[in-house]
Amino acid sequence: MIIWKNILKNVAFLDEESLEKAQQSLSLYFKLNGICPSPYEENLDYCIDPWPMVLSVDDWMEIRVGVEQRMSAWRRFLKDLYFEKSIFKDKVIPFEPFLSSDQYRRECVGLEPPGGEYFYIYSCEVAKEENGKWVVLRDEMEQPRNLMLSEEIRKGLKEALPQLFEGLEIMPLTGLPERMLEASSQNLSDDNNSQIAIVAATAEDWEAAILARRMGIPMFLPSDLVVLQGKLYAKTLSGLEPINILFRRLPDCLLDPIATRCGAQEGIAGLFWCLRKATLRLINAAGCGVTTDPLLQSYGSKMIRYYLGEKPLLNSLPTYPAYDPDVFSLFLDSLQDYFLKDRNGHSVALEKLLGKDDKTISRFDCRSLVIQKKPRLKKFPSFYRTTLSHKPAALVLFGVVKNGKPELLPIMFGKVIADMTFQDKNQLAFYKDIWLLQENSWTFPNVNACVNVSVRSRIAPLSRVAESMYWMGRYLTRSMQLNHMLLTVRSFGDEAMKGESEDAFQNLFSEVLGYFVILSTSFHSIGSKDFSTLFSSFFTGTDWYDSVVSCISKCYENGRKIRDSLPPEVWVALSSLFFSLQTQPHVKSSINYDQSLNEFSIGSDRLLAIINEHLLRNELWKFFQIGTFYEKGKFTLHLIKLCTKITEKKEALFRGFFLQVVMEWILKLTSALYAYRSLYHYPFSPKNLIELLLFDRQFPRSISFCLRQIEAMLQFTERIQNISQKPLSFVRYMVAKLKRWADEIGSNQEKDIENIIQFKQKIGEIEKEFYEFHSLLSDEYLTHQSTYEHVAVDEGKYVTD
Amino acid sequence: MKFSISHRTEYVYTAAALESFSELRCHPQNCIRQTVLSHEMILSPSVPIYFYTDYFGNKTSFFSIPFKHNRLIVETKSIVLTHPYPDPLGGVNLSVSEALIIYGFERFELFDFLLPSKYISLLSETKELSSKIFQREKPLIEALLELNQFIHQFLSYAPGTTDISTSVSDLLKLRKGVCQDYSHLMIAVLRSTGIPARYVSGYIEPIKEESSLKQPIGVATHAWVEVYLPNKKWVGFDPTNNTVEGEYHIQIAVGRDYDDVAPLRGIFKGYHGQELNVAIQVERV
Repeated sequence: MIIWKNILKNVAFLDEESLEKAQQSLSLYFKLNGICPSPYEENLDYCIDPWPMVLSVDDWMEIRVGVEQRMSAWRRFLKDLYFEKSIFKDKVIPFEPFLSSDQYRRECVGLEPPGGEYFYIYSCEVAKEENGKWVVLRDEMEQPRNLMLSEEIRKGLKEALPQLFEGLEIMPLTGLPERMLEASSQNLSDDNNSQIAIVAATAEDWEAAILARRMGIPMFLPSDLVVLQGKLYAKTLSGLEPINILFRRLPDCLLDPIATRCGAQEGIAGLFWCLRKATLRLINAAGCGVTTDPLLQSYGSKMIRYYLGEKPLLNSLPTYPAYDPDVFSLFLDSLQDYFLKDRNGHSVALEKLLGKDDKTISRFDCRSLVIQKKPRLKKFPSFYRTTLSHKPAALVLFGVVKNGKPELLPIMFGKVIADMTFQDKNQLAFYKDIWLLQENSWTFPNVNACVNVSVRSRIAPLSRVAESMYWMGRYLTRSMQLNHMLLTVRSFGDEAMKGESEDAFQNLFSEVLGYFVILSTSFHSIGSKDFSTLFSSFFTGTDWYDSVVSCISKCYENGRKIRDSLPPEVWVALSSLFFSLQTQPHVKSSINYDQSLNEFSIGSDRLLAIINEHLLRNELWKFFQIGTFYEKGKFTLHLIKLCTKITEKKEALFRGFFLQVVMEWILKLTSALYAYRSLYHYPFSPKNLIELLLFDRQFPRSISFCLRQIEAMLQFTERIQNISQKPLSFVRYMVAKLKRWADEIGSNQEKDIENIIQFKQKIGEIEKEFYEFHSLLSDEYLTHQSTYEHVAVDEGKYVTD
Repeated sequence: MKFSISHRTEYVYTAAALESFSELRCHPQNCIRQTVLSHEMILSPSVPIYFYTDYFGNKTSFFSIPFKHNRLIVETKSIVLTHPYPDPLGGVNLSVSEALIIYGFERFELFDFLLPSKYISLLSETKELSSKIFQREKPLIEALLELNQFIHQFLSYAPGTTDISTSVSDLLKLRKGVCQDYSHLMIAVLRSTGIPARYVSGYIEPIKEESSLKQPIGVATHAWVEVYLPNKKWVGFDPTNNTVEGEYHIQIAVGRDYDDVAPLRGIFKGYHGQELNVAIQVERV
């Protein structure tokens, strides 16, 4: 009773207004953490109901025993289905609907998964009926989804409404990834070199990324994997790394383009070869897709009786095949009591299927549809669409099979079923937190205990990840350079660009901007216009060309692709910078330029600091740094070229005061003003400036410094076998060449102006080498092709029989 | 009869393929009708070949080429001895309705061959045809031969008019096709009746005096139909040639339809575009 008093005390202050606020901050939390229901639709958000549902221990016990019984029956069924088929032969359940189903995979018949277990992870949806009995709405074994949602809802709710949790001991929801890892690595052979990985259909799959991070395993895309001699390998920078256990986030039909006949772009060609040779443990095993069939799920009770000889503790929803004309006419007579679903559990709208007279079925294959009875569910308080009301809710639960024993974990979240007709697994639902409270003598099971898994090992980074990291470095630096340029222009003021030297300034300005790729229309309009035009093109421009906003979006996109490799702090800093720019007003007049520019400076510096702090010991950071210094070097090179161009000009204008202004400008653009002043005297000399930007070993934007940094970053390749060292040798060559040139100039101090003309040609050479280096880096490390060409295959003629 | 078969498939890629993976079903099967005396497979580029037996019992070979290659050549050479099979249709004196009752007892085992499949859909038109030919009192064998003849006359042999994806309903409109289409249509009618039927891929030696061929079909692989008879035997019918499977038919694989027995199925990573050259020789030795 004390617990309930505490809960009542905690919720007493919650009115609709504060709940709405909590809901908004919950969506913000989800957005910043990049959690969205579909990896393909970024703008789709999860809707979270901040009002938690309290589950009593009695209810939990009832569910746990019932679901574990169900899991045992499913284990036996899957093995039976792909081997003996005794349940069909004994006529316990009809075979026609299942053996004719598309999800019944003939290629899995007689294919025993290594370890003998078909599923290790299980998920189901249960709900309480009005009569107080729990009913199973759905089972999921093919590729359970939303595994990390419960944890994220709890975290978000704790951030949004911390008062709600005061003085309560609520079952913590952490520990699912660890349990999954423990269950899946059971009964491994003595081979200790097992490597676990996760494969996701797209790199933007947030959940796979979080799972991979939490489990400490790499995440791959199907294109990162290759099958050789019946074994699965990942293509990494240092060659092929074998994979023994694979968590899949792909449905059965997209596993192998040859065996399951999916498109060549999807799936891993030859995966079934590994399964046939039993060199790979797929989690969950291929063939589990058949269990998503609602019709098969409705036979759960019969399976329990047949396989376990027990009385079923939980019922499932009565479901009938729609191809039976009697069943279908019955359904049409009492539409309000039934759902029409396809064999994957998706709701089907009746209107699409019916002909004119409403009773004939037009143009659809009844074989693929089922009719399911609507349950009458108990309602729970929920905050649904800005009002507090009572709505039916279902529980989504997760279980693991460990050493052949099913175990339902006390990890769950709630799903508000607002409209029973849309009880669909893919329909956008309202989710809520579930509280399991410590009551009476019952204590929490120890789900957070450390698990002992000995199979983790480090894998060298993938070229795909290195590539994204490299581009993140480049885009972040580019955006910072753009921002810095705008700040510099701002510091000169609008007046500086007007007056006598206006045209010359315009020219100069166009030259500087020539480095950045912008819309040709905005390029021509820059100039005599005011700062607002400049700002709207180079800061807020949202085209695919360079602007601060678009550079950061590209940086964010690259980050999204490699979320599993980014520490959460880096990810949150990146997404908050991205979203802060997304919400910037794009209005010209009212905007406070200085504030926006300064805010971005602070935000980007912070992001950089966080990246440097959290990724310092990581090989990926090296690629980030290579990108950063490459970009810095290229920009400096551009300004040096500009400097030589101006010095060449013979007009009087470029000799006097204006030249000094231009020099100062270039120095400010590269943040080199103070460095220059500490080395040389006034007035600015083009030669000194060029020398500083080219050869200075300490100045962090000089070409020499950038090249040395890149060299240092690439030195790790010397330690790894099989990895190409071409880029490193090339950078070393560039550094040596630069040094020789610096020495030459040092010995020819007298010839001043002539040297600058000579510079031009050599700078052109360096620029060319920069491009060459980029293509070399791309070829060697950043594309998939080059990493696995060295596989040795025995020569000879293979005669069979 | 003893046959020497050589089958050469060559893929030339427009740009080098980075890697490829292929599955082959061109290994003649040892069965009651034939004995494989020798079989040899040569690959270029040469990589190890692996085997497994697929769901339908076909010997399937597969290989992966994990490096850059410009072309892929698969060459198989087999020597097969086919045995005479006197009176394959003898001893079945049942009417269609009696046979259907017997099939009912084995429905579970034969279920795969009673269902529609990827390329064979059961339509109202095929149902109509089946009710026309398979009248309940008619002897089963007579009806089967009648169907074989009907399909042979209904479609005209016209290479190039259809492809793999041509559906049964298109065939009924087109009334043209190749051996694969003849077989698909015949299977559709058989399954609409409730008679288990499967698709057979193989080779055939064109012998003009024995078959009523309109043109030689020895230049490519052949396809025909096997029907499960109530005496628990699969017997082949060749609707393209309006015959029963004979000594000049050499079986490779069986399945529900073409999709299950495609001779070469593979994927490669690289630029889109490839050229295919196939050369087949079936000679009596």
